[in-house]
Amino acid sequence: MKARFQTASRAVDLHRWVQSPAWLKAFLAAAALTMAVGLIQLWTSEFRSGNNWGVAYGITAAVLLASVSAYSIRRRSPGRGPASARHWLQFHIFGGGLFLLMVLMHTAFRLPHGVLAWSLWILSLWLAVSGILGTLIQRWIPRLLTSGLATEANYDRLPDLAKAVREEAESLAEAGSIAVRRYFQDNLQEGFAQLRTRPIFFVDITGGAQAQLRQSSHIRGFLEADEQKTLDRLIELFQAKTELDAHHTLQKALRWWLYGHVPFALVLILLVVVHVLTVLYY
Amino acid sequence: MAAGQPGRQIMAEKTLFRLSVQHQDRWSTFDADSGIVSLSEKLSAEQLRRYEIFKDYREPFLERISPDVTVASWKKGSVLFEEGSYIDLAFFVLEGEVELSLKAGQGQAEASRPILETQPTKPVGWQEADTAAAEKTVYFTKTQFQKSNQIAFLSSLDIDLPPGDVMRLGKGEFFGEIGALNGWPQSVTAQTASDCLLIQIRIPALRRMKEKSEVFKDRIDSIYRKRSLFRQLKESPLFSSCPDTFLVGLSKKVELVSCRPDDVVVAEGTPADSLYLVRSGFVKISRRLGEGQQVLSYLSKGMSFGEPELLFEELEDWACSYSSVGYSELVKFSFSDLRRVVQAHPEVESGLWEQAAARIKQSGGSGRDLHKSEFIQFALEKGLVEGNSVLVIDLNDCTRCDDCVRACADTHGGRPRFVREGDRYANLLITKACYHCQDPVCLIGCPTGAIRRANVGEVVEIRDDICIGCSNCADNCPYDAIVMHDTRSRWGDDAVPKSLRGQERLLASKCDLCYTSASDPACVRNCPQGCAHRVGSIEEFRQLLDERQRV
Repeated sequence: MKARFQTASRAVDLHRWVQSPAWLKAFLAAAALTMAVGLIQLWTSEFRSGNNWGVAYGITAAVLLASVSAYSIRRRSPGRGPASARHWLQFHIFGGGLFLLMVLMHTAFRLPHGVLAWSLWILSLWLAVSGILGTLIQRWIPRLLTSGLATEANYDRLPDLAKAVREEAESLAEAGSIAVRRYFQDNLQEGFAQLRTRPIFFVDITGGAQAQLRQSSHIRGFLEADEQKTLDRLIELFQAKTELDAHHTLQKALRWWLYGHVPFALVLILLVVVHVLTVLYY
Repeated sequence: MAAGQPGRQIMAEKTLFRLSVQHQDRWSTFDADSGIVSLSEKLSAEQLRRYEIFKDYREPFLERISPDVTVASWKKGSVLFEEGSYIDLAFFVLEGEVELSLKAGQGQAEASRPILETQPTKPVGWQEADTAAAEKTVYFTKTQFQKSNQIAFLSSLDIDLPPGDVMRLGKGEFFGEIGALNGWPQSVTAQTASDCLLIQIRIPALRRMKEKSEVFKDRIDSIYRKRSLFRQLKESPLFSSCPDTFLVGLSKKVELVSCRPDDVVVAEGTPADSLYLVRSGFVKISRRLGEGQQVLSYLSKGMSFGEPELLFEELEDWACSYSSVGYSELVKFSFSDLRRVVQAHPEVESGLWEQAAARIKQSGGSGRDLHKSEFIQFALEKGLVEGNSVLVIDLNDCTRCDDCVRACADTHGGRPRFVREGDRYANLLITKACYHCQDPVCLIGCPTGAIRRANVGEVVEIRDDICIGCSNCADNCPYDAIVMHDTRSRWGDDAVPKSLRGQERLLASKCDLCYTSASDPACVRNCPQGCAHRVGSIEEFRQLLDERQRV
């Protein structure tokens, strides 16, 4: 049975956006427990980062940060870690969410004071936001690639594939009639030039190829049967190249969002170490 | 003339030397610590012809197959193969005795008896059938299996043996060949009951011998008739109600048919005169649609075809074409024999009608549903029916991170064993990773025996230390699942064959299912999205497809 959340208007399919509803439930339970502990604390003492409760939240947050960061070590040592990579990723995602909650409780849901505290606070928030964005990108783009494109291509091989397509297209155009050659030069050649990153693929997976090829139907009527075959092949190659561009753009997004996440995580770990040392020193 | 002779002599010596080295390669790694006392060197054609099993072959042929043949001396108590394992060779007993048993029966040698004896111990429920057959053959029935506790491996038995029982094979007996030739796991454990001298023949030689000699083919077929056919008929829904006596008679009349890949068993429109039962492999059912062929379905082991043509008098010709997908083995029953069966046992007719109705319904359904037909065609072409473990990736969830490929490379010394590319069906990508086929054709033609069943389930592996990079396996693999790696080194001056010397050293490389590790294959275990799956059959693929399309 698929997990569904009923909203007023329609059912939201959890599986589409959450890979493991079991992990989500565990996270919600842990978050609820943490909030309950917070309420007990509010009942019995003051909600402050400096008291024992606050320190406990801080220590928990630091431990969680270290634990969720271990995912990148697990990725680099396949086969060595316990459990599958899938469970590690789920722990990374939901443990990260719990980390942010602990940070907020550690700061007693107040704005921080001082440069270091502000940096820690902003970085924690940024990591959570970029993590959620990354998770959404990882759920959205694969579906976009699969449903919209006929081909599947490895990111690392894209330049070679694009080169092969370009060379075939150029040699075909070279051997074709003047009309075909001119059509190629005026309408298609630029598209074959190199792998292009085009934001249009995020909203239109075809990259507007149909519009770019519209003129081909105009010249078709003036061509001999053999030339028509050449034109058809050129159009096929152009469409293939457009798909390669789509792969390039979208797979790049799947890789590049990590640059907005991982370096900041490293800085945060460093600042947490400084923070702990400072607290211990003073 | 005189000048030419020394030249030919040198050539012959060179060839002999090459064959001798091939023999050494193929047998040097054969479980040296498993109880083998000695292995022969390459035997000459003359030496081979002294053995009864090779006497029908001509010398040049025997020279060609000689690297794949050896004579091994085994200690008493050595395990030749275990039940459930795949082997790529067959054994012929020259001296001594070999015990075949299910694991439950080991250690009960005192209860053992020869599989062929002049006055066999009759199993419980045995009814005297044809006197001639009863003289030589012991048949065990499913009923008897059930009476003697549980039965294992019914789906793939090549020798019928109930748990707890032990059979003995003596001088002149041949065994292991049915499993080896059909790609079935062995149904029993074979252990030497005394010091033994065995001829061991690898699959390539076995296949050639079978193709070359009708006598040898008949011999293997006759072993199959004695050891397995009766049980297969008994288990078939068509004949399960027939008395044993009748099946014994029927099993003698059938014809055993061996097919090569793409062989047309029967063509649409040709006169129908026989019913076929699939012993091993797969048979594709198709019919003409316009100028092409529409695939309707496929048949696997234990399934039959020809029932509608047998029952409906109006159907004089085959309504569909039936062709072999890979290597397959069939049992052919003539309509005249079957009509006699039906006359004598009218209850068989209802079974035939059921099968016929099922076939007509299936063909009709597939004929109308082009999607289903297309899926079956795809599954047959892409090896989904053949594969035991196909790596399938759900592209809807795959973030193209290539962690699966990296994990594979890290587990295998930096060289990935598959490419995350392949054919797509809906949102599923069938990667170019070894399928560990039921009948691995990559094993045929390996000059050194480097590619083989690893003796762990269905795993097929390549031994780096004896692979010479000839790429025969890669060329034979229909699914492009074997990659030739450039090791960036060259063969040394002592390499054999000489043609390798100074050449770039290539290495064939393929998925080994990470069988040496205790966990799942690295690709599956290290996929962070959990979208890499291993599927073992077309049904599992269909199930995964349905499941993932619902998500």
